[in-house]
Amino acid sequence: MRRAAVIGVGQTKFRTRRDDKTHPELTREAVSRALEHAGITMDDVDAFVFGTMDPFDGINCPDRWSSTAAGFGKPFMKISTGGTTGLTTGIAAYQHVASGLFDVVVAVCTQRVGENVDAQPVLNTAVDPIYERHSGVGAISVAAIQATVHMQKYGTTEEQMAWVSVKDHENALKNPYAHIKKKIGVEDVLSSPVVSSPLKLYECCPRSDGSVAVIFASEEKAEQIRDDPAWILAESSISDSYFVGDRPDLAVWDSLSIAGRRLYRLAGIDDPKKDIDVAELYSPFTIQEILELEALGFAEKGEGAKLAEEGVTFVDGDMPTNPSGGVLCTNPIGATGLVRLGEASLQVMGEASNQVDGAEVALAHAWGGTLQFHALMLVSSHKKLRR
Amino acid sequence: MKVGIVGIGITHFGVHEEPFYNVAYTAARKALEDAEMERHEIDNVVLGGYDVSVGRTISNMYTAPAAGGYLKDEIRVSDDAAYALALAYMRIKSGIFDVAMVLGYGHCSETPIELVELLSLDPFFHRDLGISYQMSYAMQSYAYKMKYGVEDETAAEVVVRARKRASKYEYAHVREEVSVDDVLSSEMVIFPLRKLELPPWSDGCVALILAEETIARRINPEPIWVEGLGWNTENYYMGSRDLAELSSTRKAGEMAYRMAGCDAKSVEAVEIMDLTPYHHLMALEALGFAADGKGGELIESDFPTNSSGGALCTNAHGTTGLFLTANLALQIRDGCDRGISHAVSGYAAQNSIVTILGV
Repeated sequence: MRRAAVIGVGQTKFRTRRDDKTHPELTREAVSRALEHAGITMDDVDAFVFGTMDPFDGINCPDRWSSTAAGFGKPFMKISTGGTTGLTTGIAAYQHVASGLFDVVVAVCTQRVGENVDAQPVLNTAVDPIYERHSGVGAISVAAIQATVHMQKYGTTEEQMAWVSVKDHENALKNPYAHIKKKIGVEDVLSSPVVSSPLKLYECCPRSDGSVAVIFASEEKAEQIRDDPAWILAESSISDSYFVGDRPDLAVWDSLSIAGRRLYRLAGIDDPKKDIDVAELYSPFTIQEILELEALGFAEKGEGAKLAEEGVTFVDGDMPTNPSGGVLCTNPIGATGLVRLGEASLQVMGEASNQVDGAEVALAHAWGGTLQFHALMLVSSHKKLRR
Repeated sequence: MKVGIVGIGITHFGVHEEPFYNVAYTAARKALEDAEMERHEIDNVVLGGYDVSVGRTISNMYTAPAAGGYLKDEIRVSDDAAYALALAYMRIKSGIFDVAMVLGYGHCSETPIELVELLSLDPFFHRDLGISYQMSYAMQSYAYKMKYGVEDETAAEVVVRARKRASKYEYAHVREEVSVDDVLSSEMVIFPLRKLELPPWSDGCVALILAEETIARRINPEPIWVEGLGWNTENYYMGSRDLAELSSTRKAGEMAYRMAGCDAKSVEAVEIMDLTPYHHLMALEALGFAADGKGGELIESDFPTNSSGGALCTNAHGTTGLFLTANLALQIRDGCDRGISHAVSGYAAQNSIVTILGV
């Protein structure tokens, strides 16, 4: 397998609306920053992979318009897989390089959720019109069910979930691109209005506009271009069944466990707690970070809720999660997964805005659909896992 | 290491009223049966098709499990599924995967496609013009027709021949034969395109199973090899382009020929996504089968184009290109040595992808 690495990361500022720029202008801003970060130019790029989720942007197939800023005249491919879009776009770009067909490939994701009156009715069109659509299923409602089941099964408390929010909000203060920047405490979270019981406002992500670009290069090119690329150790994606009601147990995210197991096997990871230094997890709702920590082997089943409360997942803790502030503070849906990969890459390059000391291996994760999809990518400052 | 097609599954193309995941399932099942394989032998699923055009968002949610993706690695290209085949090729070529299920889907009866496509116009320059998807193809047709003086009869003849071929192709949607007079006397819809010169909106799915060389030979003693792939993108702003030529197709073709190490002369079968008869000619020229403006001369010859009837007879937005690739694969299975398939997407054929298959 041809080795590849991340050689450049660029993001725009994420806001509720980015009325100052058009779709391609946002794309261009992210791509330009990533090219600058890598120290290369548009001429050095062989192909583009574009990710976005239709139709959040008020435009159908906005990739066609945005390609004027990235890809015009070159091979250009559009990926869309729901919430995992950002990360599957990164995975597809990595595969472009790994196949040997291309040496330098840009993955770029732009999303303007602010063009939508409400994202949830759009998401509702994804579910089956006969069995599930009428129940109003969207992202928040399924996360609320996960929270309720987890609380009932494992005794997870609202205070414990609130700690996840406190941690992410504290981290976001250091991230210049983060959308929500607000110092909050556990009491603020608990007293914020209920959005979908038991989830409260500060336990739910915002809807963000913005763009992110990540540049991949072959081993040879990566070494020519920079001293400290983020090497791709492994990637994995998974699809579960379509109907939420078909999932055996919503208190565990078993499909993520399976994807994680495959990823760890590919990368040679025995103990994720020891081998992985930092994780950028797709947790737009507090409960989901808890489920993800358990599914990915960072906590025993039912124990994930203790990690934020005990400080383990804070940036100076033993297993820092979302030092960027995570999805809870910034969620440009179809771009969010690529932000996770970009931030994970910056961590192992030692250039993150909220750097975890000595981070050598970082995990990026995204979920999508109504809890149906997961995508994972593992990056490292070394070409192979070092213990 | 080569990558080959070892299984082909095509559903009926027309209007499907049953839950659409059943149609996707049918294609996947047929491909597995064709390859004499079981679902567990597939290690990843690559889907291709649009959202919105099928009346929903994240449309890979309902097609992934139907394509055999349950608890498998899965990804979706949101474009013509011919791109999904290219991605599946790269996933196998890299050594990451061994066997891929590529599934393309189009479900045009679910939505007013032209209304949906109007929303792909940017809100500043194009949207107020209200240019429909088909109008953009008509503008190209007109520019090409005027530049090279293409007669109405030549365009009509393309349709007549397409229908004749479709009448013999079991998977084609529109299979009634028509005469040149029928075409020329049909209603003018968008100048210069008459009703019979426009493609139908179809529903259907196509599944192709791709495998790494050694495994492919185990599955099927005569796999159909993917020899070349190329794709490219033109300027979104139609006003900044030469509408009389398909430049993204030309560039995609050059990339595919380079990869396959061949040229147009060695190609024995051609499947092109002719959303209008003029695009049929323009694509043949862009792929090197005729000089610019001379595509019409091929029509009178026995040039082996679109034995499926092409997009003029079957057009399931999102999988039209892969439908053509599947027919090309069937032709290679029947004895043809090398063929090329082509797909376009976006307004005025902004994006193009070319696939070369061989023995």
